[in-house]
Amino acid sequence: MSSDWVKGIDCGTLQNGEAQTVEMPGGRTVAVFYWDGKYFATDNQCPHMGFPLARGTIKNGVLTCDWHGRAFDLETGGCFHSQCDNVRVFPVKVEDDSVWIQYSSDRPQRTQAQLRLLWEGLLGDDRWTISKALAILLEQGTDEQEVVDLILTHMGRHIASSHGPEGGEDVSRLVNGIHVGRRYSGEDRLISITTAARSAAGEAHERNDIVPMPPPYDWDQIATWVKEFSRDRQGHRIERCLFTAHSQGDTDKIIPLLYDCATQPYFVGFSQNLISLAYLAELVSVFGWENSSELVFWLGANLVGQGRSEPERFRRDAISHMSALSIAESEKPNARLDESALVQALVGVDVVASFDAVHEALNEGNGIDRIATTMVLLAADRMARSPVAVDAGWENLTTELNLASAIRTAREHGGSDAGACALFHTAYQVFSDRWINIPYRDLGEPLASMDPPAEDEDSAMALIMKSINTLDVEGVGPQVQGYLQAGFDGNRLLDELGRAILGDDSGQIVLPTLRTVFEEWDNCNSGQVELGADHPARFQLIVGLARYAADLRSNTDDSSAAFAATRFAEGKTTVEMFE
Amino acid sequence: MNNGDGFVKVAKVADLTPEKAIAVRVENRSVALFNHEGRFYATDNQCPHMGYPLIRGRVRKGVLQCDWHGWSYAMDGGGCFTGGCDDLDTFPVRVQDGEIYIKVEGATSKRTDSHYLLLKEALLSRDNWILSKAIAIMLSQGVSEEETLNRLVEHMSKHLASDHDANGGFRLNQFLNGIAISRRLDQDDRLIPLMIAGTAASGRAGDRVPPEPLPGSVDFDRIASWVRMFSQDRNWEGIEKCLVTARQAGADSRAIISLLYDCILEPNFLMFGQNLVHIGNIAELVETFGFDLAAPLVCNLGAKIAGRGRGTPQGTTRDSIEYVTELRRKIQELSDEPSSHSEQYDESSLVEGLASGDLRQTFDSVTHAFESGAHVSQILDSMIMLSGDRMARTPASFSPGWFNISNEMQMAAAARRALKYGSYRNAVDATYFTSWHYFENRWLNIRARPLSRDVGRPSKHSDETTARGEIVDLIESIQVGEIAQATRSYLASGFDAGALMSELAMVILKHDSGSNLLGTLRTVYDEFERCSAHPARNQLLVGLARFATDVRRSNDNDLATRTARRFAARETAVDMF
Repeated sequence: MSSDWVKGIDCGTLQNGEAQTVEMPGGRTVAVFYWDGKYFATDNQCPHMGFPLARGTIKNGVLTCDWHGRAFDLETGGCFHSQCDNVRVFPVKVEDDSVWIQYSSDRPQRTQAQLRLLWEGLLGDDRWTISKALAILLEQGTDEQEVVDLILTHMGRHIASSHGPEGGEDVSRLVNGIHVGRRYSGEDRLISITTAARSAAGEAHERNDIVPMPPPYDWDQIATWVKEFSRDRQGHRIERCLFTAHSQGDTDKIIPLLYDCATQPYFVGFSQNLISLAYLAELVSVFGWENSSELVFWLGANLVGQGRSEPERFRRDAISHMSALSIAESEKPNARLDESALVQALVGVDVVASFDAVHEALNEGNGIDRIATTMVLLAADRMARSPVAVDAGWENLTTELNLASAIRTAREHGGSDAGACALFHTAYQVFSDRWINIPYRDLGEPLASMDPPAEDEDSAMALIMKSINTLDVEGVGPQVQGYLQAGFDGNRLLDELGRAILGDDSGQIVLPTLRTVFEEWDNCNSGQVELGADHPARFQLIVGLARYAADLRSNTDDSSAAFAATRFAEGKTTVEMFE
Repeated sequence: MNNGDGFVKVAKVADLTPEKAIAVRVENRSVALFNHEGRFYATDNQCPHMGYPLIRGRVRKGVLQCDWHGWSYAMDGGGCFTGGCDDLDTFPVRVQDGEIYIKVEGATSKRTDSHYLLLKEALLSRDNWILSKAIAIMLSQGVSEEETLNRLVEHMSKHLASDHDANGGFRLNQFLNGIAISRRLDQDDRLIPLMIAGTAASGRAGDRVPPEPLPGSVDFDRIASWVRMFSQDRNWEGIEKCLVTARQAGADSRAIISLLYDCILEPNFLMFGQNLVHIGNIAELVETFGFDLAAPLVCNLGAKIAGRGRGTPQGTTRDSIEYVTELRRKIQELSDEPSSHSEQYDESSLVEGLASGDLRQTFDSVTHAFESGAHVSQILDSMIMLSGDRMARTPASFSPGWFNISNEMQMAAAARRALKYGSYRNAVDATYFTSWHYFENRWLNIRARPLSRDVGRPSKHSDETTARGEIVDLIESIQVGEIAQATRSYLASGFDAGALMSELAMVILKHDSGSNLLGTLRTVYDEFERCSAHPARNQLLVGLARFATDVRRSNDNDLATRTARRFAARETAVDMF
């Protein structure tokens, strides 16, 4: 690091306690203070929120910023408050009646200090402290793993000390925020990673230590117990079992075991279980067990051991029918999926027929991925066509989409049986969303032809973004479809959409869906037919996302409610209302 | 019965039908035998949670579940599924010639390893049962009390740092008083005060980023000037940072504690006399457990106390603060420690001043005492004796002011600690702070009188055991009217005061009001011993006995209506009693 003596101010211009700013080579300003017969120089930017420190006041050698009152030792720059870094100070000398400052434009790397501040921000759930620490860490090129390790460790403790199974939603924001963040740089990446970090924010408390069960150890015995406790809704007994298996070297068997539990028929209707478990599995595979074990054991135990009420009529039918089927993947090389029959059964209103269709698709030798692709694109198609009304069903439709995509994770990390069962759980989700008024459409049929919103790609994209920003939900769908049909770049549009989504306050809600669309769009461009390559419905992924993102911003519940109420008063059914 | 290899015949195979359990007694412990899925198992019959017999539990797929609270255990190995601190002892089983043999001899209890887990669970859960169980097991299995207490201190530091403000000082007070009292009792009686101490230390422990010292080297004088400044500015975070920095730079505990005393004895803190007790406790914690263990609590709680917010003083409080500020220079002059106790000191005039109910007279009487050459400890002796006397004489009626009087007494005892742990000057300041509480309690209807021996009639009982039994009976049956006379007579007969003190301690601790009386109990213990030459010292025990008796009754409604009737008859509060 090079540092030079820079001439600051003339001696004698400052009274006791006064300050003057001096611009340094490179543009940063330094505040020079005169206090108690001595000169001091500090960075002029308050490390808390950037107020000019030259405007602060000095008492007893302590410099206090005028804005939020953060106080610093004038001599060393040490800060007297939590959630605020020390201020940088520079050596000063007096020569030739001038005050000289030894300045270097290279800022010292304070990775540990910034990680501490990040932790303080997480504990205090303070968005500003979190964003600031992350921005500085990213700017100085700190390894993402180092940052994520800290967030993960905190999150495990936070969720285990103050959340139940719903902690899975926080994990979703964490995993998706990191994942989406990797597609961006600069400010966009920061928004995404801050969203991820904030999902982990909140107080955390010490917990009872978990120790392995006393010997004898036997994996089969542990697995039997975990399944038993899952069935009996005794989640609190599962954590120690998982910890014991981990300590005995059977760590790799844990995620498949959790999948075994979560895909049981009695969990039909618990879509979030499979989605959360997919995120946990991904977390472990990407970041390792070391910092995620507490989170996985605790949340995993809570997910698969959670309480369930007595199933009502449809769920009871679904559970008993699924239990009666023998479910396994039997992939055959020449299998061809009768997609329209499957889709027709899925959107029909008969859960038994729906399950039978899935079962038949499996028995015919179609791979899980191929069937999952149909379910993914069906959900996307439904998002692209759902009437925007008082309740467009976005929460349900995005659950269908994210769950369908989670089938692939289930297969990858839980094994083919888990993947096969996950198909039925997804089918049930579609069945239970039958109240959403979307008529059947054959996914194999080409989409109606639309004109692009403009002749050239840039203008077309600009118009689409304008529709999103002006909340034109009905307009944006055909525009996106036309854009893609014209052969314009889908990746570029998706990146731009993602940017707009992240910048909006609704971004946290859209995040998991954004991530799924990113991934499934990649699948559609992978050249692998079973993953959706060249599928006629693939554009619906982006169309659906654009409509969802636009509608979620509109917050027009009041006006939609009034619209729906008026037509209700006219005697229209909800299906007629939107025709 | 014993085969020589430790296996003991306990039952016939025929005695134990499939999926049934029986209890057998081996080596003086109750062992449960199970016949489950074609295998025999032997476990301890006492559920590690609350002792329910496990043979009455349910067994399914190798999991034994107790019928009472549902705690469940692996039959093989004894692991408890709900945590590691309640693992069940299991014993090897052998079947030979239709007989069941088990081996209990030499089996080490799983509890030996799980003490600390259990203690941690208790501390986190703040559950009295688990806490008592943990401490009892630790003490009975030979874990040193020191080791147990160290763990409590560590936990308390975290708990107070994350979940309490300056009032966390009251927890520390209960903790140290519990320990101090336990040390005066026989081994068997220690569990209650230790449990009360443990309760004070328990609660959730939040994660907290430990404060980092300031960068560079900062000398102690600068730190000290900042701490004083932040104390005035109510910036406790700044104080903590300074204290952590000072500690890192090698400052000793005495310097830090004196600094804290300097801060809290600023006149602005006059109405926060409790600070004095809290800082004294912080000093005692360091003395008892060492600075290394106590440092996080010293820096954090000390900072919260010295940097606490305070409202604008009103009325007589403002007058008092102004007067004490005015007296500061005078106090400075009085702050040279006299080499010996003064003969000129007039205790009666001090007592008269303290009970005068007049602001200036109260403070002036203290100043006169110092001017007559009295040592601060002589003055504090008198204050404590005065409080003991007030406690022994306050009318036990609608509002006897027990906690106010007890507060005066503990404040005076805390001023003594300022002498021990701070400086003579700190103790002089503290004496003025304490005297303010006598002024504050001027509404109590206790006439002032010289502190002379209050002799009672000798006891009607000829042996002291019977006399002590009577005192305990009177307390337990809440005879407020008679308890004072009985206690006074016991002491007048020359019976063993120490034995009575222990008896009083136990009767107090066993009652639910015990935790509220802990501070008074401890102060009376200490001061009765220290003031052995004072003619009024018996009043300490009389006062304590009355206090302990009266807080047991809950007849506020009755007293309120009786007092209201006399109020309606236009009596003043002084006439009434």
